[in-house]
Amino acid sequence: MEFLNEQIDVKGLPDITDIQAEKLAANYLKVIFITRGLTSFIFITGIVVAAILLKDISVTIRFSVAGLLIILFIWFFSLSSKVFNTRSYAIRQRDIIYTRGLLFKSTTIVPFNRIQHAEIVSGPIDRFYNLSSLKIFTAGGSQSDLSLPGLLSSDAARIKSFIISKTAQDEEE
Amino acid sequence: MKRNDFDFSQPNKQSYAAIVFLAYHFFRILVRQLWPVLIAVLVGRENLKNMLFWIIAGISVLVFVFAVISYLRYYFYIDNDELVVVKGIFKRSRTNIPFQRIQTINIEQSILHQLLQVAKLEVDTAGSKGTEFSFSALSMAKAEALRQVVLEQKSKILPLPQTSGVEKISGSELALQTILHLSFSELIRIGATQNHLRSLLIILAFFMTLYNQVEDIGVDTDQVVDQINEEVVYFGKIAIIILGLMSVLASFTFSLIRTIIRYYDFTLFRTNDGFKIVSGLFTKKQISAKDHKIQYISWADNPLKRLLGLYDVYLKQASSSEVRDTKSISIPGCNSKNVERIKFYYVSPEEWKDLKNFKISGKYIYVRVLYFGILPAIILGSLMLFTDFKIYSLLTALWPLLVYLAFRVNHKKWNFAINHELIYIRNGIFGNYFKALRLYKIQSMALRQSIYQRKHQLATITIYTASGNINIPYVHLDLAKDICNFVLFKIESDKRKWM
Repeated sequence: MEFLNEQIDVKGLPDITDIQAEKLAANYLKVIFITRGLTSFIFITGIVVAAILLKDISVTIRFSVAGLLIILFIWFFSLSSKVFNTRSYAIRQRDIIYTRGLLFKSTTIVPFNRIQHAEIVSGPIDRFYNLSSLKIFTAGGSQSDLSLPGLLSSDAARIKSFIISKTAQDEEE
Repeated sequence: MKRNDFDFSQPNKQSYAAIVFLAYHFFRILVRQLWPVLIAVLVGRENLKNMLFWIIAGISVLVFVFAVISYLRYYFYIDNDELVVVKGIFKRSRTNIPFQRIQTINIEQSILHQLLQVAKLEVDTAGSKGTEFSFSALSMAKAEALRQVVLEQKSKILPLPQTSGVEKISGSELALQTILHLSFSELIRIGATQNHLRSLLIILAFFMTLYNQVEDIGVDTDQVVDQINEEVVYFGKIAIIILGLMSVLASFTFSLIRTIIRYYDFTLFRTNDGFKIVSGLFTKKQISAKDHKIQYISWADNPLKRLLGLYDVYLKQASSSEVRDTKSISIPGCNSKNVERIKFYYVSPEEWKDLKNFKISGKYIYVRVLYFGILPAIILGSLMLFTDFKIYSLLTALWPLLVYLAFRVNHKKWNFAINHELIYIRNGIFGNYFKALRLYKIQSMALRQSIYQRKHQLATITIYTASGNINIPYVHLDLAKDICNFVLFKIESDKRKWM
């Protein structure tokens, strides 16, 4: 193989932040509200029941801990729309970028020529709103696998076939 | 498909010796399932000897019958570039392994194998679980022949990936070059400089499980512990010192024995497209690591090893889709010259040139001290206030200071460098860890920022490889982005296959 070592202008390379990020489908906000609402509801009910039943522990400790936990879950629920706003994705010619995270912001970039396979997953609440998640698997282990939630089912299918055509094209080269 | 005297297109059986190994296999399964029952039945019986005889006789017959049947119903053949294995006593299973999927074939001989003049053959595939398996006993000649045939066929279908212009040589590994051979005295030096703390933990874990098992059988462990306690109180400090010395000695001996068993007669060869290792006292292992399968290499020392100028080198291989065991081949007891040779075999000296050095931000220290120093100290200190050791809670204030000093050293060592071909990382607290990773082996990249990092324009770069993640913490955001953009450009434009 020929050895090339040309100088590359790093500042001239395509920038991962210089993109038009796509928001997730508007209905996905409702899905977040419902799932977070349900989790919070279940946990708060559990906490209240526990606070009433655990008579061995002194009243002040019992109720102050329960109160704190309940506030935590209400906070968890109230963050729903902020969480939704932090999530965005972008598809470039050669890779896919997904940004998420409120406290810990993370941007993951998966090049198409490293994708092993892609999968469309759709839960019951997702299906109700006609949404899907696109899961992208690489050889980098479960942590590097990308799950792109809240896509319109038609979009998810389109993106998936686009990615697959790209990876196939790459294998031919 | 005929080669040597073996015709693999017809169903082949294993060597007769396989019955021995199958019997052992069934014996282990049976004993593992039945031992609590056996103990329950046997304890407190009068005619113990008689019963024991019948039980052993019964198990032996059962095991032998199972082994023979399973031997007779186990065969394999090669069909259209696929290795087909049919097996099972009641539930028949048929596994097809396409040659392209086969990564390596390892041949292994334990003492028993050597006595029976057979070998264990392990077929290692990339990807889906359940397709990795082994033949417990094939005659040595047959094992070699099968390996040869598979590797040859495989190279015909799939031309070897073009890694750094190595000449393709069909199947067999020619030109073996010895890089490292460990003599017994070197082995002892390696054993003496192992991480003894880890050995101690392994010993402790062993005793814990033993303790639990003994308790399960119904021995009153509390009584034993009480007795030990009493004696410890009686002998006081001397007992504690003796116990401490004993555990130090035990961990030291354990490390030494483990090293000797694992690395006895260790030899590292360079083949034309990878590395090959032969080692082991009881079980002679032969492992090969092809260059194209190695994802990155790393090498490390610890304070003890540094005194002797020794390093451990690790060849990190792509693991199967299951991350559970990331395949890493360790090469102990390399001196800096050996390290250099392995380094330059894997990445040519030319490609090491023009590395541009970077450091990580000093903010890294403060956050680590907060998480690992101050927070644990506050929690532990305040918990101690509720106990009888109130005075000691003041001592916890020293902990953050120690953590601070450790991470200051760590920050000073933290260094990474990058050029057109690779990323080179150095870090460590007490020891030194080095990693060298070719850019095109990277699977994907991520930039992470906590709130604190966002405030200070810092980011942590995570590099995902097929052999685990590598983090570069607290890099200035602009630099992190540039590195990310550059690495992505390299991944996306480099035509070499990562595996």
